[in-house]
Amino acid sequence: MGIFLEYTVNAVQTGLLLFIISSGLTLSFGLMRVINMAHGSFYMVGAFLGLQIALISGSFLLGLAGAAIGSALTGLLAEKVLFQRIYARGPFAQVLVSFGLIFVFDELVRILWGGEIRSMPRPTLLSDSFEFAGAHLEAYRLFLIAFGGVLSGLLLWSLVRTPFGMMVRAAVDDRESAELLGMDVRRLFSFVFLLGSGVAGMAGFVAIPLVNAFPGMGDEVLISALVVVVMGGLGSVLGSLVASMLIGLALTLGQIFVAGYAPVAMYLVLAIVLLVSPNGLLGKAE
Amino acid sequence: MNEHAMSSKLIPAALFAILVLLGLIPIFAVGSGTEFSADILIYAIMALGLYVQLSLLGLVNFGFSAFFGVGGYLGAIFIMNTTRDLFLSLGLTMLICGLMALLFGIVALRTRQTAFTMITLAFAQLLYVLSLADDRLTGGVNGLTGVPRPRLPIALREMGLTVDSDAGFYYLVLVLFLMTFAGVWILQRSRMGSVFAGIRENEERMTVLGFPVFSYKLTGFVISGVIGGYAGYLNALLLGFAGPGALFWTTSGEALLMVILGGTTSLAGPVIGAAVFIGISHYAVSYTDHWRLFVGIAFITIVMFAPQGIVSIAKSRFQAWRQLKTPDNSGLTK
Amino acid sequence: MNVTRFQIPHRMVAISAIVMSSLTAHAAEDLRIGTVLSFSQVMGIYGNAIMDGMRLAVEEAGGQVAGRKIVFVSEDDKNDPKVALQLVRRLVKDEKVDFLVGPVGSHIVQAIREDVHRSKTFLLVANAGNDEVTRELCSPYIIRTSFSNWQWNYPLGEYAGSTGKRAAVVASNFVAGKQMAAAFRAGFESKGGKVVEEVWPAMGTADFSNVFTGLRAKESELDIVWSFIPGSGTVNYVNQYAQAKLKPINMGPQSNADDYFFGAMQDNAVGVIGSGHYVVSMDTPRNRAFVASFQKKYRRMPAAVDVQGYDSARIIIEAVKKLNGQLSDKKAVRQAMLDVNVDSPRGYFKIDPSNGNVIQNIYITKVVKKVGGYSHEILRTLEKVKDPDQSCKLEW
Repeated sequence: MGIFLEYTVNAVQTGLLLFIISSGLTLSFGLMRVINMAHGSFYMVGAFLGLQIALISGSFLLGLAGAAIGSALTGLLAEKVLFQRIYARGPFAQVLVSFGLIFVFDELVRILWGGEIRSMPRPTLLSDSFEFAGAHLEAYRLFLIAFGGVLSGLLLWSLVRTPFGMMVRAAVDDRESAELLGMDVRRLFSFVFLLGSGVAGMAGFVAIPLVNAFPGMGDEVLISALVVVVMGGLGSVLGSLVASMLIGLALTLGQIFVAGYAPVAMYLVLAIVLLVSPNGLLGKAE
Repeated sequence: MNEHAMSSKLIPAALFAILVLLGLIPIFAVGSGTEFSADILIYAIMALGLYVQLSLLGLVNFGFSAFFGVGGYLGAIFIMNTTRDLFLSLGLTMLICGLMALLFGIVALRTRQTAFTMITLAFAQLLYVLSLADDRLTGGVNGLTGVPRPRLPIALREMGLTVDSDAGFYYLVLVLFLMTFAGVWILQRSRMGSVFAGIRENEERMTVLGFPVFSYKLTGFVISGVIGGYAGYLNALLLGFAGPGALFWTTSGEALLMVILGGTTSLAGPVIGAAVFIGISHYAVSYTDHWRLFVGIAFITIVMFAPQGIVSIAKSRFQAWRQLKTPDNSGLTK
Repeated sequence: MNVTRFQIPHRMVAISAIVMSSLTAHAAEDLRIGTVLSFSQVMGIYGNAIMDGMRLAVEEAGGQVAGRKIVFVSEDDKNDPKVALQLVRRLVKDEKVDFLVGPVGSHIVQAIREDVHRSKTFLLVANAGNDEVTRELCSPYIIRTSFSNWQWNYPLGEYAGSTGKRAAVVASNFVAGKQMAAAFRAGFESKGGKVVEEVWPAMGTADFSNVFTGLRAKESELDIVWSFIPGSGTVNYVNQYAQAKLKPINMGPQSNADDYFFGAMQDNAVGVIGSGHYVVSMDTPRNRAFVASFQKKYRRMPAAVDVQGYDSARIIIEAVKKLNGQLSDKKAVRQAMLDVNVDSPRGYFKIDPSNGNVIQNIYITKVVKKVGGYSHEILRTLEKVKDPDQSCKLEW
C-alpha cells in the first residue's frame, strides 16, 4: 500500500511538472499557430537566472521570482525582436528561427555559466521527509505537486472564469472572428507568450534541486513538451493536462517494469493516441 | 555577345570545371583533406534527400535523422554479419530504409503541417531512445564499432579498385553523389516533379483536379527516405562506426539548417549548405569553442532576411556584378 | 699546397656544420602530444583534469625532453564518437602527433580503436575504463594508465561480501554499466553473496524516485545497494538516495562520489563506500610531494583523474628520454614505456606487458566529513590488482 502511494506521488509529480512546462507551448500554438522550438531554452534560462539569484541572495523564493521574471523577459524579447517579424511567413519559418535560438541560448548559457553541472540544495523548510501510510514521502516532491497543482488550477481557472481567459479561448477557437470583434490578438499573444515563458522558467528553477541545471537541459524537456502538446491536441490546455498525466503514468510504469526502455513508453503512448485520434486527445482538425 | 548566350555557355563550363575539380581532390588533398571532402559530399547527399521532401513537396520533416541513422546501423549490421559485398549491403540498406519510409509515411502523411513535423520528430527520437537502450543489435551508447569497408565485386577488384583507401572511398561517395544530384535534377524536371510542385503550392487544388495526392506524397517521402538511408550508410563506412548520435533530433535540425542555409529553391542549395555547415563546424572549432553561437545567429539571420539562402544571395550578387561589367549604351557607367 | 691545408679545415668545418645542424634540426623537432579529451558538457571536468595532470608533469620535466620541446595539440571531442574519430584522424594525418592521450569516455575509445591501431600511433588511455580495450580489442599501441571496470568493481564485490550477503545492483542501462555490475557480482558471489535485485534505469535518467521506491519495497532483504551512474547523473543519484533515506549501504566505484562532486552532494555523500585507485589523503612521501606541487600550481586538491593525466605524461617523458628522442622503432617505444618506473602518487604502478592495462592497488574507501569539507577514508587496500583475463592477443 505504501509503495503504491509512493509510485502515485511520483507519477503525479512528473505529470504536473510536465504540464506546467508545456502549458506555454500549448497556448502559443493554440493562439498563433506558433511552434516555438526554443521553449526548452526558456526553461533553461529561467533555471540559471533563478539559480544565480538564489545563490547571491540565499533565498529560494527570490530565486523563483528571478526565474519567472527572467525567462518571461527573455521570451518577450525573443517575441518582439524575432517572432513578430515572421508571423506572416508561416509555421516553417517560426520553427526554423526558434531552432536557431536553441543554439544561441545553449551557447550563451555555456559562456556565462560554464559547461558544468550546477546544483542547488532543497530549501531547508522543504528538505525533510516523513512516513505516511507506509510510504516514504519527501517534502520537496510534495511541494512540487502543490506548486504544479496550484499553477494548473490558476491557469485553468483563468481560462474559464476571467475575461482574459475568455478572450484567449475565443481567439484559439476562431481567430478571424475574434479579430473582427475588435480583439487585438497580437497583443494578447505577446502577453500569453510572456506568461508561458515565465512559467517554463519557474519549472526549470524548481526542478534544479532534483535534477540539477546544465547547458542544454532544455533539449530533452522540449521533446517531452512537444509530445504533450501534440498528444493533447494542438491548442487544448485541458488536453495537454490529460496528456501530461498520461505520460507521467506511462513513464512511471515504464520505470517499474522496463526500466532500461522507460523513455520508449512516452512515444508508444503518443503513437497509440495518434493512431486512434490523429488530432490528439482534445484537438480540432486543422 | 548577349547575356543569354553567355550564361548558357557559362553554366555547362562551370559545371564541367567543378566536376574536374571534384575528381582531382584526392590527388591534391593533403592529410585528412580527402576524407573531409568525402564527409561534405555525404552530408550533401543527405541534404539532397531532405530537399526532395522539403523543397519539392513542402513537407517539413524534423526527423530526417531517422533514415540517416538507420541507414548507418543497417550498413554496419549487414557488412559485419551478412555480406561484405558493397552492392548487396547497399541495396539491402536502401530496400529496408524504403520500406521503413513507406510504413512510416502511410501513418505520418495523414497529418498535416505542424502535426507532421511533430510526429516525424517523435519518430526519430523513438528510434534514438531504442538504439540507446538496446545493446545487442545496436551496441547501445557505444554503437557498432570496427565496421570494415565493404568489398567491390570481383570484376572491379581485379582492376585494382578498392574502397579501403581514402581515395577509393572518396570516389565511391563522389559517384553516388553525382548520381543523386542528377537523379533529383531529373525528378524536379519530370512530370512527377511538376505534380510535386503543385502539391507544394496548393494541395487542395491538386486533389480537386483529380491527382492521387497521397500516393504522390508517399512516393516522394520514400524516395527521400532511401536517399537519407544510403547517405547514412556511407557515413557509417566513412567513420567505421554507427552510433545513436546520428539519430538524435539535433541531426535532423542540422540537415534542415543545411538546406535552408544553402537555399531551398535550387538544387545547388543543399549542396552548398552542406559544404558551408560542415566546413564551419570543422574549422570554427579550432578558433572558438562557441562556434555554435555564431551558427545559430547566422541561421536566424538568413531565415529572417534572406530566406532564399546563400545560393540566391550569390546569384543576385553575381547578377549585379555582371550588370556592372556589361557595357552600358547610355555611356553613364564606366 | 697552402690551399690544400687551408681547404681541409674548411671542409671539416662544413661537414661538422652539416652534422651539427642535422642534429639540432632533429632535436628541435617538437614532441607532439595529441589529446582526445572532452572539455565541455558532462565529461568536461575530467578532460580538464587530465590536461592539468599532464601539464604539471611537463612542467616538472622543464617543458622538454631529449632536446625536444613538448607541445600539446588539444581539441574538444565533445564526448561524441564521431567528433573524436575525426579528431584522431586529423591529429595523426595532419598534425603528425607522436603520442595520443585520452579519451574520457569508454564509447569514444571503442570508436577510435581501429584508427589508432592502423595508424600505428601510441595511445595512452587516460580515463576510459571499458575492459575490452585491454582484452579483445587490445593493441600493442594502446596502453592504459587509468583503471579498468573489472579492476574497480571485482575487489569491491569481494569487500562487499564481507559486510553483507544480499545486494541490489543499479546501473545505467549501457555497456559499461553492465560490465561493472557483472564484475561486482562476480566478486560478491565469490564471497558467498547473492545479488537479489537488478535495476537498469535508462541512460540519462535524472530522477530516480521510482528506482528508490522499488528498492524500498525490498529494503528488508537488502544489505547493500551497488550502483554506477555515469557522469553527473551520479550527483542526482547520491543526493536522492540520501533524501530517500534508504537503509542499505550505498556503494559503487569511486566515481560515484568523486571529489569533484563533493560541492554538489555535501552531506548526502557521507557514508558512501567506493573503490578506486587513488585517494588524495594517502600519507606517503610521494603523494605528499605530489599534492603539494599540484596545489601550488592549481590551487586545488588533485583527484584520481589528475593523477591519471600526470602518470600518462610521465610515461611519455621517461620513455622518450630513454630512447633519446628516437621514436621510429615502435617496438622499442612500447618496451621503453613498459619499462618506465612511473613512481606514481597512487602507489604501485606497472603496465602489464600482456595486455597494456595498468596493474595497481585498489583502495576501498568511505566518504567522511572533516574540517573544511569531505574526504575519502581508506578502509582496505588490495595490492597489485591485475586483470586475470587472457583474451588479449597482441598483434603488430
